[in-house]
Amino acid sequence: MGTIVPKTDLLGTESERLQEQYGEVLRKGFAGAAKGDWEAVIDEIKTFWYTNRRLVDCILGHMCRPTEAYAFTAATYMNVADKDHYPFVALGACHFLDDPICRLSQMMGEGAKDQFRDQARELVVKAIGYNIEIIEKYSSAILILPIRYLAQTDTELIQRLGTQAFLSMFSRDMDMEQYYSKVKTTGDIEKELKPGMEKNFIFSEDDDTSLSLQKRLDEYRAGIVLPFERDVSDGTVFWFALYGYLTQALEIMMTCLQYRVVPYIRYSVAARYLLMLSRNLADDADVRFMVFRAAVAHILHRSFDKTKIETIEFEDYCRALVESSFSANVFTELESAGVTLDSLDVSKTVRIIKQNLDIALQRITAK
Amino acid sequence: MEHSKLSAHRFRKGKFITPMNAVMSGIGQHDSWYHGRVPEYLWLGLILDHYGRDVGLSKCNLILKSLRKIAPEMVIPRLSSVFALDEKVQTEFYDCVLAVVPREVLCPLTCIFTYSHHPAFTKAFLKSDVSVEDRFATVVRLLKEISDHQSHLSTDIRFLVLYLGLLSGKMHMPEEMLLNVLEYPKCSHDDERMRKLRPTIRAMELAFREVGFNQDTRNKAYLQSFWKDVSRMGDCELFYLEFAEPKPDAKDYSERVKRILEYYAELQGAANPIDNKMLVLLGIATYSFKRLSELVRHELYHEISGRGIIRVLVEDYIMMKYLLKNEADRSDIWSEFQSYGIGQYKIIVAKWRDSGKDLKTSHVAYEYMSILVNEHMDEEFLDMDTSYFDKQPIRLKAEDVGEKELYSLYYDYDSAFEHGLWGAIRESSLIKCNSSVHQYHCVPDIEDRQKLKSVWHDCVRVMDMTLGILEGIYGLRTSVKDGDNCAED
Repeated sequence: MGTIVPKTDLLGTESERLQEQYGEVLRKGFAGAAKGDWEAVIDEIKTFWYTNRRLVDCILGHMCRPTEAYAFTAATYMNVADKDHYPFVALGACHFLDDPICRLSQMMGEGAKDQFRDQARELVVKAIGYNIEIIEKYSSAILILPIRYLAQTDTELIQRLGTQAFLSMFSRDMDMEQYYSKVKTTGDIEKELKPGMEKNFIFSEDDDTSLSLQKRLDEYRAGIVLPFERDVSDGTVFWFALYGYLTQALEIMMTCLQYRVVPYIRYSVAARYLLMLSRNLADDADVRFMVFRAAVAHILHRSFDKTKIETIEFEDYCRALVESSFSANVFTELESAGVTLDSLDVSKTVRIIKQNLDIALQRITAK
Repeated sequence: MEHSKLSAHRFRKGKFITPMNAVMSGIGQHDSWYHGRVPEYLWLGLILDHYGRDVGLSKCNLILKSLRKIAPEMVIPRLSSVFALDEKVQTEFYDCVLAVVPREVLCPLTCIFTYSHHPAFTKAFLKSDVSVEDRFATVVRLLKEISDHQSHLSTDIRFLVLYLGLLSGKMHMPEEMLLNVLEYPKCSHDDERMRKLRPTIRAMELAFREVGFNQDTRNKAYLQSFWKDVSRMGDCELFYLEFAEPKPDAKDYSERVKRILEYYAELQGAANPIDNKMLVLLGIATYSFKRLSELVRHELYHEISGRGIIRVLVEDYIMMKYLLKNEADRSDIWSEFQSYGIGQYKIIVAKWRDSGKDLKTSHVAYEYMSILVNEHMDEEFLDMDTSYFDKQPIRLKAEDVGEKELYSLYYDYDSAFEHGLWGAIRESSLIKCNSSVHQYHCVPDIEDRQKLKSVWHDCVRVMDMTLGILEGIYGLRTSVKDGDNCAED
């Protein structure tokens, strides 16, 4: 588990120091944000990570075996009040929380609309609060690192691949310029989409694919704050939603492959797009391994019964997972049961996870 | 600068003491220009850098006068002293600065002095539309420019330091000197008078730095934090020396040496198979040849191992000469040489036996060594000499045979590599980083980029000298010497 940070190794000591210093920056930043010093607070966080970028690389690269490292990513924050950290640490040996603050701060930039900026600020404050709590209470198990912010992913490549993936859903060969001129209404989208394609994508966790595309799109539009005027065409909103998810999934995939960490994705929409894209890279062993582990982690997250750990201390919980070899047993049993990326049997996976979790938790109650 | 001759050094307890160190102690790092003072005066450097000398100096003049009014106790314009002021006083000063220069001038420093520790400074000078990378790049560029304590920009900064001292009234100097100082900002750096003024300014600033230094622990903490932060932010800029040479025609040379040694070996077998002297001399020469062959086969010319090879060639050559020189005075120096070497093996075998350890996977073949030890004489009759052969180190042997230079210019240098001494480690295994923010440190050369100067030419020279010894004793037929070329003639 990430709970064991040996005092005698420099990397362990440095990672502890890094978290402590970041905690200090965040505590002062929290107070500064309350005083309205947004610009300076965000700038300091960015500077902090820039200064320590090589150490972050070193931690991601060497803290534990690549197959055993999980990164909580594609989320605005980790909700520790809702005990998100319990399922997160269940699989693997090292757990990194992809710091959302730098990413959120990009949404607060110059061009952003006031409402959008205010919402981003609210999220930043929330994320700072949760980050402080994680550092103060759980830093022995979870390290906060700005994984996606510092990853040297090729933005242009991601944008190109995202556009390519988006346009590949349409029957007609076209570029984005042609898309904007031809696809404006929902009717245009339906006319141009490949047959059956409308069931493949979702707009949100609550998206009901049995409804009409117009209704689904209207609900999506009503439920979010768009970074542009509300009267933009359905075609633009459709592009905004899907292109955002696709590029996010591509970025997660490329970043996690770069550091060889498994993405732990809480949000089922992001997990779905990751699985969707990974099908295009079916021959790559690293991708297959990473996506399989990410899928198992996502299933664990969705099926995790938090009522079972309500009264259990986090440290006891972590210790029980290690002592019962929870993670290793889950993957051994999945292999024996023939569960693979190609035959991802969700109910079998849930059963194996639950059985092993019960065994681990029994150790605590037995004591 | 001309370096002191070895003879000018004082030799004390096995150490050569430099003439300079013999009379004075070293200069501490904490008050050196680059490490100890540049971080304090970087802000003045940024203003000069932004506006150029003339406008920059006059802007600084206004700012330092404000500082004098706001913080009259401040004698030296150290940034750490400014940061130590009450936050309200700091804000008052920063407002004065901003009345003279826009915030982008000192903005680069906000990537080092951030909000949680320096809220007033950050709020005054931060321009978040300038990226952290760009701000840091400006700091790095300036640090590089003023890393030379004698550069024009550095001297201008040092003048400003003195200037606040003068404004404070705590610095006193003879009138003539004062006039010189006041003349400095008026003269351009091309002015002939500056040849005298610049060193004066530097010398005075150097003397002035002592004011309040010893009591100021705040300054040390500031420096430590400054260098820690900038060194973490900066990337290494590695550079190493290229000693690339065209590959030598080593194959032809090796074949020639082989041909000659084959001739001597054949000659020995044919003429006198039990001639111990010839066996020893040929054995030593063959050992040198085998090491030379390894050099060629594995292309070790520029590698550390190559240094080990040339060192052995030198030692073998000196030993051959030494044995020959002392041959007449001894009954059988050749057997003595052999007994000494085998005796060394016996010590190792005896220690292995005493240890009671198996050591099957060790690279030392103890069982086989034991057979060698008993090859010609029962080991019970073989003494073990723990000192040098003939009680003389190789240095004295080299002197004895007139090869002092070979020892002092080659063997000693190569020994540093064989013993892993720091000079050899620095030359071969560390690369210099040219980053000013890393204070020009070294980094381990894990990637094996740094190659060394080739040992090939020296190996050829010493091998030829070794063969020359054999030729001097046993002669060498022209047909053997020239090989096939001769036959064709």
